[in-house]
Amino acid sequence: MSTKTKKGQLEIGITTMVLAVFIVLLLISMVIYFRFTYLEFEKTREEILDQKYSGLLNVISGMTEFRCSKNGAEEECLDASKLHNFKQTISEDGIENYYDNLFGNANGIWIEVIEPFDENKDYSDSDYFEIYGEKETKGLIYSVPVSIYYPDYKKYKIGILKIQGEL
Amino acid sequence: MKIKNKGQAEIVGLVVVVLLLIFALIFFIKVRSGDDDNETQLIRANFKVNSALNALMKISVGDKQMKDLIDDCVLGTNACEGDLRNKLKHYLEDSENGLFKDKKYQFIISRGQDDLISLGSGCKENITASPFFVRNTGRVELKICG
Repeated sequence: MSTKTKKGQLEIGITTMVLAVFIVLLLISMVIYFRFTYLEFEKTREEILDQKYSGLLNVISGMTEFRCSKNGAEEECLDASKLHNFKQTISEDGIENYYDNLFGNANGIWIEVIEPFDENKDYSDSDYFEIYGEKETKGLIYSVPVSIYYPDYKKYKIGILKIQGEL
Repeated sequence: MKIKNKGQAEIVGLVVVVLLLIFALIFFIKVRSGDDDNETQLIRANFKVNSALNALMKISVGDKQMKDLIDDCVLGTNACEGDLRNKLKHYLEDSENGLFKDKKYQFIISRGQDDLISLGSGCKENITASPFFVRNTGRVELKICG
């Protein structure tokens, strides 16, 4: 075998090795890149959902439909007597569309009462008030503590306003 | 020997290129993960901690509200220990119903520079609710660890 052929074979060998290493590294880089892009995408999705539903929590806790008042002055609390039967009332009045638009694609909105009354045999015994949709369906839950006022008993309790939803 | 040297030079060149690619990747990852929108997160967390403090101050305890009991405590009528502390602890960290049962928090009632009641453990980074003022000197603070 001539020296030229040997040199040519060696060059081909080196080029092949370089290409093989380069392709392996390219594949690894692509896997890492797409993994990070996917994680970034998931994070952005969670961020958007958090922003969207935190905003909605803020809106709901300020809605006059639920807000409590004393002697005509609004207070930073929700009125249990307004929360009670809210869902049924909007259904009877045929104004669900308005709230469908307002609450977007939340699957469920409800308030869980921490330590409700237990012997009055009325709405005050209820350990949760359903506002919209169904409780515990699918999607992540976003929540905020709220103060609930029972006007018939002139008492305040703590509740957790919860929204379950997805994009 | 000349051919062997050339091969070694190519490998060194390849290693340099690979290292540059790795540095570029690390830089890219750093830049992308560093631009979090912390401000909006902070606003949302603030809304939650403020709502928690508001709900806690309003809650009825017997015929009074929690803020009235705290008022008594700040006035110095020996109301700080016992029932008030237990009730606060219950609503904040009860294993079933506590607002911060699975979160670190700090709740402080102070008069001037003195802490009358301090619950929870402190943390380096926290989100603080707007303080609730009682009389002129009393102050109620709630912090949740960020």
